[in-house]
Amino acid sequence: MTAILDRPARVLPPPEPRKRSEEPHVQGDAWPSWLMFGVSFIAYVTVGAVLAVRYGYIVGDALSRTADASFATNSQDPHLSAIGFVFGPLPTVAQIPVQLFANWWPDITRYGISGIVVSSAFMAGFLVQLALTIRDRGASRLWSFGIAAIVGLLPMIVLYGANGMSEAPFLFFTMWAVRRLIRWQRTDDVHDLTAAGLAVGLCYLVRYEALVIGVMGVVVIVLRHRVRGWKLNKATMDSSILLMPLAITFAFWTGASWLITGDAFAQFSSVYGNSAVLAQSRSGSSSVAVSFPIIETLVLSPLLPLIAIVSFGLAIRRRDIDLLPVLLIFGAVLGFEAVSVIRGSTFPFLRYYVLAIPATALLLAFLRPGRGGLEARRAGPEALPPRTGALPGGVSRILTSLAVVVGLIAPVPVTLRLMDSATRAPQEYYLKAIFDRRGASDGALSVLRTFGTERGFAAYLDRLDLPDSSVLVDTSSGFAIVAASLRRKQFVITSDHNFVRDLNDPSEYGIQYILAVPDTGRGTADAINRRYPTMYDTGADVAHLAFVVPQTAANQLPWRLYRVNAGGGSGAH
Amino acid sequence: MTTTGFAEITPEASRKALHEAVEGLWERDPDASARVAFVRWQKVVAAMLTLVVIAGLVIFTRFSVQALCLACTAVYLVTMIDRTVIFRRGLDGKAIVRISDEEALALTDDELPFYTVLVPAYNEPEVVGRLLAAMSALVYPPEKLEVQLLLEADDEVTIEAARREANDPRIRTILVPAADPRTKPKACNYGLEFAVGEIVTIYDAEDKPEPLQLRRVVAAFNKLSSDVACVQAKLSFHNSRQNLLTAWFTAEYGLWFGYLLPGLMDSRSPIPLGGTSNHLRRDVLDEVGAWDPFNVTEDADLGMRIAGGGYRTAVLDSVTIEEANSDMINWVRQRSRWYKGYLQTYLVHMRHPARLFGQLGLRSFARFNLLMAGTPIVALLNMAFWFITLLWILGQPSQISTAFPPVTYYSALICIVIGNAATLYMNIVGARATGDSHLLWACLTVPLYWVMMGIASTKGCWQLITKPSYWEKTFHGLDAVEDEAVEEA
Repeated sequence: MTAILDRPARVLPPPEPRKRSEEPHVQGDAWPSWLMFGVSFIAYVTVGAVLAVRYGYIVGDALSRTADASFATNSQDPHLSAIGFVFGPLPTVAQIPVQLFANWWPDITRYGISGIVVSSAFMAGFLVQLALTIRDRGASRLWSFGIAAIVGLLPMIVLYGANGMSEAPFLFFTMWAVRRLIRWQRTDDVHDLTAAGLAVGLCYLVRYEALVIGVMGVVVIVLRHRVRGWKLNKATMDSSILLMPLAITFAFWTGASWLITGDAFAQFSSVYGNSAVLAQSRSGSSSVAVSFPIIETLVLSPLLPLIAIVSFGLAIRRRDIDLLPVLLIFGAVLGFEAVSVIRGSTFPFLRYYVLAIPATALLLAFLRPGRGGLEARRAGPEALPPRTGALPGGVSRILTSLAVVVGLIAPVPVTLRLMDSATRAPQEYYLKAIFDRRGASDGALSVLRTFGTERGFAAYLDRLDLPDSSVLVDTSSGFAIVAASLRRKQFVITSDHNFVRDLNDPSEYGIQYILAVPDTGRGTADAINRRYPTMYDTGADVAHLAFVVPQTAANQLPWRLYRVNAGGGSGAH
Repeated sequence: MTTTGFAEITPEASRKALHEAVEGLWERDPDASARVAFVRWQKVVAAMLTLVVIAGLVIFTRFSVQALCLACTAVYLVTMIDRTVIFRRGLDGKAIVRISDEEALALTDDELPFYTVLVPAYNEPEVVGRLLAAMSALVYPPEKLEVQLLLEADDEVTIEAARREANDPRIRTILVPAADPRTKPKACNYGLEFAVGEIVTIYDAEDKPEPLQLRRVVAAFNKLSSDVACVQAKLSFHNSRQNLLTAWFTAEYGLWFGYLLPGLMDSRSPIPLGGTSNHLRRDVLDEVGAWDPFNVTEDADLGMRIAGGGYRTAVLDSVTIEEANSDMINWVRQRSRWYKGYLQTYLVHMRHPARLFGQLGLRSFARFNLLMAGTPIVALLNMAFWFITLLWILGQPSQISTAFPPVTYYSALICIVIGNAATLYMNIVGARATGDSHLLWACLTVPLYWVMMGIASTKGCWQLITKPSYWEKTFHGLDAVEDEAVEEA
């Protein structure tokens, strides 16, 4: 690996204080950055809002996060920890400011608009970081922002910018960390190191894959110091600057989770966590074929292996270290997803391989050699001197542009074709039905109806005009109903401090209705079923059936509304 | 300006100089002197505040406790945010003035001004030799450099050592008449009366300034705008690996001189000068007044007066190596003196709050409050709040949840999680700047250092009330630990 690294500078360049006007491109990139952010943000929000409100495209996890954010601001017992501990908290907490407007515009919650706003902002930020990463190599503005714009138009990026999932913040923080690590290799600037650390630390509050990024960041640091002469102490110091924010967010999140739920790793091990959901949803084999992650990566970027080989070869010839964090971090996360899904510890979702897209874009962009220096705010003692090298010549410009067309744009039809499969793209395949209702399968149309039942059920409950704290529901199953209701205070939800008390003796504490789901599959995690396993079937002697809500969407739970028996007491088994 | 050995000073000149050194500032502007710690209105306000708090605690216990907790948490929060803002500014390489070797050496002898180096020492015979070595290492034309070794006239051992070893023609030993207050600023003031330099600086006897420092300072003054009155060099320690305490101290200095001080400079805030290696323009010194002999952190006080006079201080990328305090007791004495001095300085400059506000403007005024009063008070509050946190973790007593309603509770939570983590992180970044990676363990254990700060602050605050001008001498030379504190009569 050391062969591709630049030799360290013999004489450290005296860090001359530079005037603003001399900065090569940092200042000049403010307006294209903001333009790119603004345009893509507005575009993603628009696409997301239309898909959700007009076509009913709402992803469960996204709406669940939005509902969690709304519990913290708008429930009968609003408190921050009501956001729950199943998901990384950042995408949820980031929605809270938007949620404050939900009183005036309930669709913000009902259709998950606040989630769409957050994912759009992060996706737009990701595009800017991508552009600046390329720009840091001294590339032209057209080349940097052009490639980022192409990426921003790719179907998978548009979709996950627009649907409120955690992919967008994950992409943003990963890209931020990678950019800063690439910079740090050249500047030895503590700014870059701390920014990378911050990115990784915050990334943990989105997805636990951040741990992999942290580890690979350390590998980058150690390799870098290894070439400068084996300086273990310096590498340790720099690694701790990188890892400290991650250590803090990790400790904070597990600590908070443990204090509030009694479970340090609710994300994985609670009844609502990954392992449980996997167990509940699993039918038959617990793992996928080894080829599955490879296929998924190829769906998103069919030419990635070829591009990687060419870029790697070029990097060795040019002794170009910029590629190191790209290969190590994107490679390791993709590898981690692959191992997890093969071992059966995560879901076979296409979106877990979305990092293949920025990896492809960067490898293609880096085909053009880097040149010039980097503006460091405080260059460290081991900063590298500016790269010499002219703008790429005409032929090389044409060839590399062609490579971008072939590697990034041409595969789009292939990707779209391959995504038309419920196994390869279980969370995306049915989108085709929006544009082609006639040709769509019943299954796809049924998935598009997701949460329509819950919205109707919520409207029915609202019409009953019930008093506050009179409807008991476990929001792990019923979040979509609560999210769609305009009368939030009628519900007693899982995060309320009196939930367990009311669950144990509903009639005593003014509960009039209980929302029940079948005690099978995902429903087994429902707190009401765990207390009253026969609630859905019989009312468990505490309630009688008032209303049956048939489910019209695929993969969603049917509902029954039970009316609590007056003075029935606890009829627990 | 070649002088040899001991300065001949006539009794008349000596009497005049001594009077100026001790009484000068006091006579010209009693309000600028810390001879009196609290002026009358400050005493009245302090007494009234104490009464109000006590009365409140007795009559409206619950409300008063909540209000106090909220106020303390607010102080924490603001201090924490401000520290981070300063740090961020200081992270920028541009916040430090850098003069290359070439620039420093390019100055011809004609371009270099007369320079006076004041070296006050007391009861430190063993450092005289080291001082001579360090001073001879300075690259500066001898005819333009004057080094004054300032010794107390009754400090026989050090005088003897100077007599034995001081044969460098550039070093002039000046005997400061034995009179109270026996403080470093008084000695410096006395020396200043005989100083010829256009630029004046102070080194401690055991300091090892980087040889080109004086030249860099001259170049910096030439380069910077005319409102720069002082150039402060960075301080660091040679004995960071001696023990955990010296490692903590070194990391702290790395952070302070590497990031926080440059950040303060860059935002044009008033800067409490470091004890040594501050290079001052003589004309400004004459204008704003020299050191206050009654202030135990005269350098911080001078920094404030410089800011009040409309001047500013720049931080220079040149290091003076000192010896870190390696003994815990000795460290607590030194730190308690600093904290007391900060409070003294605060009280002195707050005698006319409206005037100060007018001189400094809102931001610098706020920062002055946070630095001079905030630093010792937060160190003190830490003790109380850690205790409360410990109680809360151990038993969650209901009194604490009453005292911390949600607003206070969440703010305090932010302070304790993010504030402590950020401070720890800044320490690591500061340690990285020193280039000594061994400091990592010191950075990770730095909360223990904060406990010591709490102890020192308690001592300093108490002493401000009981013995305001008492000078806690810090001992240099590791074996000299007998109590030789000099007290004002």
